[in-house]
Amino acid sequence: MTNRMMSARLRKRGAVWIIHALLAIWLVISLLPPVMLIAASLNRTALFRSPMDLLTFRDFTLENFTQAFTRGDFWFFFTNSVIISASAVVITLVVCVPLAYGLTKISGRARAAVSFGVLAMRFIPYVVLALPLFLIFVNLGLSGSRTGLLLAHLSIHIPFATWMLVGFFDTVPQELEEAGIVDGCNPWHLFWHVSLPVVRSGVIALAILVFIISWNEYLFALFLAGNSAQPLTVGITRFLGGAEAGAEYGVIAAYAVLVIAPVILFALTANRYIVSGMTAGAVKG
Amino acid sequence: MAGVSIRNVEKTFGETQVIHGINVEIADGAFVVLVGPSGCGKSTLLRIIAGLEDVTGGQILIGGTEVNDMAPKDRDIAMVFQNYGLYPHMTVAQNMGFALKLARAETADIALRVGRAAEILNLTPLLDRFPRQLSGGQRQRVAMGRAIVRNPQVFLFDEPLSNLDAKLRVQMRAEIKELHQRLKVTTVYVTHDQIEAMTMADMIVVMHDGVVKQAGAPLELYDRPSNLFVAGFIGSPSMNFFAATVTDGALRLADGQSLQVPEGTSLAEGLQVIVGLRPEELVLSDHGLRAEVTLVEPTGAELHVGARLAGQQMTAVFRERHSLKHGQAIAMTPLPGRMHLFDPTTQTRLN
Ligand SMILES: Nc1ncnc2c1ncn2[C@@H]1O[C@H](COP(=O)(O)OP(=O)(O)OP(=O)(O)O)[C@@H](O)[C@H]1O
Ligand SMILES: [Mg+2]
Repeated sequence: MTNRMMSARLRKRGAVWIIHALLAIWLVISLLPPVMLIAASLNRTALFRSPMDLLTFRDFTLENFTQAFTRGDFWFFFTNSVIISASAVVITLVVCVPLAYGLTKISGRARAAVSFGVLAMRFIPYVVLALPLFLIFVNLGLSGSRTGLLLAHLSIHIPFATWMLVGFFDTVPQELEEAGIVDGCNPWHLFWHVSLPVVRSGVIALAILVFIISWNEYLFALFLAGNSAQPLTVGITRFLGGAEAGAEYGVIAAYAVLVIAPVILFALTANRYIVSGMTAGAVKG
Repeated sequence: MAGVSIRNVEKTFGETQVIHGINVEIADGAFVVLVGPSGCGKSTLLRIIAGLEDVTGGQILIGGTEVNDMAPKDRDIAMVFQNYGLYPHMTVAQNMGFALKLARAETADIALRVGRAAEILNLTPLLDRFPRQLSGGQRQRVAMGRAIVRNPQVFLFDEPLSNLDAKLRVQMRAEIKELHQRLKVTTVYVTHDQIEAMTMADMIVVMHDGVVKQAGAPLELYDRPSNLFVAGFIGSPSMNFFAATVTDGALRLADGQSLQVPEGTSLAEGLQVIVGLRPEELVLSDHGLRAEVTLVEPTGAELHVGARLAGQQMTAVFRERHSLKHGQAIAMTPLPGRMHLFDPTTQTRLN
């Protein structure tokens, strides 16, 4: 082996090390907040403690969780969050999957027009929608209801999901549907047995994304939820403020852990769908 | 089984007409190859037979029944696509049985027929795999299996071998041919590879710009191409063409050399003709057309020679191992009766 090859190799190995080191730093930085959150939720006094104190669990307690459950109307907010997020997922899929599939079947100008309309919705920062939606909902009597909040969520999800799904369906080779036609598929069969299974993992990933966006949504909830439809993201604010706010940080942390736990569990179980190559082998390759 | 009749078929996409009145009669059980350069409308014609495209004019008959307004599934045809079109989420067995399942066949019956087709194509050990777990050749065979499971009246193939490497292509070519001999199902096969066409077909249909240039048995097209296009398209390396004038009862080339008019052909004095000489139908001789060697390519079995004759480049192929060098002067004559003459204006055959 020549010297030049050796040094090239060493340099390459060095580059790999640097990349790994950077990734490790990035991992620590991004994991620190959730780790600190969990640590804070399990310590009696969270505030004014150094990170090391928290991480050694000097005054370990589950009291914060008890407080979060009992004092914070946890189950009321939790129910609202679950109902709104789950309904958002179901309705978004039921509306957008056929819509997007249909869009990939219509030609040229019509498709471009609808696609642009759908995408144009995404140009608007959704903060801007909050006030008009509030006024509309008050007039329609939807303000303060789960239905109203759900509708607001759908106004964000439907354009986004349609746009994503059109992209997925576009990857289905035309040849595949033609094979289906020759095999005797009617349009429904083509959709249900041929195209949809090919984009299945994409649809599942999208469903998870929609669920997480709805679950974490705060701004609409603040404006539109009134008193009876508040989700967990609003519920957590009950522990903010007040005279002895400092004493409540542990409870807030516990509450926050409870808020994010379902999402994390959900994402972990569905992870394999998010990363998966269903179309591999559909055509040559 | 059934024959296919293509009668005056025309096809227009928007403003552009891509098929200009095609007539082809395909006999029951025949293996017909549609061949032609890219964009000549082969796929379009095949898709019209399949029912994936509507005709703009004319008729398609399968087994004597007009199918113009029939859905593909009612035409009793099966198609093998260029990229195989296998359903990625179904196993090999499910892919092959899908059409039967849609037709609500009994589960046991589906299993039986899929099993039988798999046996024919040596796919039995692969039945539980997904397409992504198969090699290109295996996918190709699954696509064929999917077609034969349905026991259709007509098989349609659209360049089924173009994604395979050269060696596999030759192997699959033989397999498809064998399958046809075994099943005797009418087959329409599209390719732009004239060797595939020559080796597989009972009848070749040469297309160009949406019209049929000539249809006939492979050797008929090779021996007596009816026009310049077919003459140049069939055969590899392709035919050499020289402009000539009938002078003193002989064919005089641009540089003054002349060839005898083939026997049994009478040409008017002064007539302009195009002389076609196949590279492999030339022999070295002491007299004959003098040319200068520019390129010598031994392939082992044959010797490909590039030469300059009458001011233009030409090719000759010899089976003998002549020792030729760049710059060497040679003389060649066409084999007796192997000269092709064409009219330069109508481009049709004269002899
Ligand atoms: N859906 C379509 N819309 C408009 N033009 C089309 C369409 N399909 C094919 N064409 C045109 O019709 C002509 C014939 O196309 P076709 O696919 O039949 O060619 P082909 O002979 O199969 O060529 P290749 O060997 O490249 O596959 C081409 O000029 C093509 O551009
Ligand atoms: Mg084609």
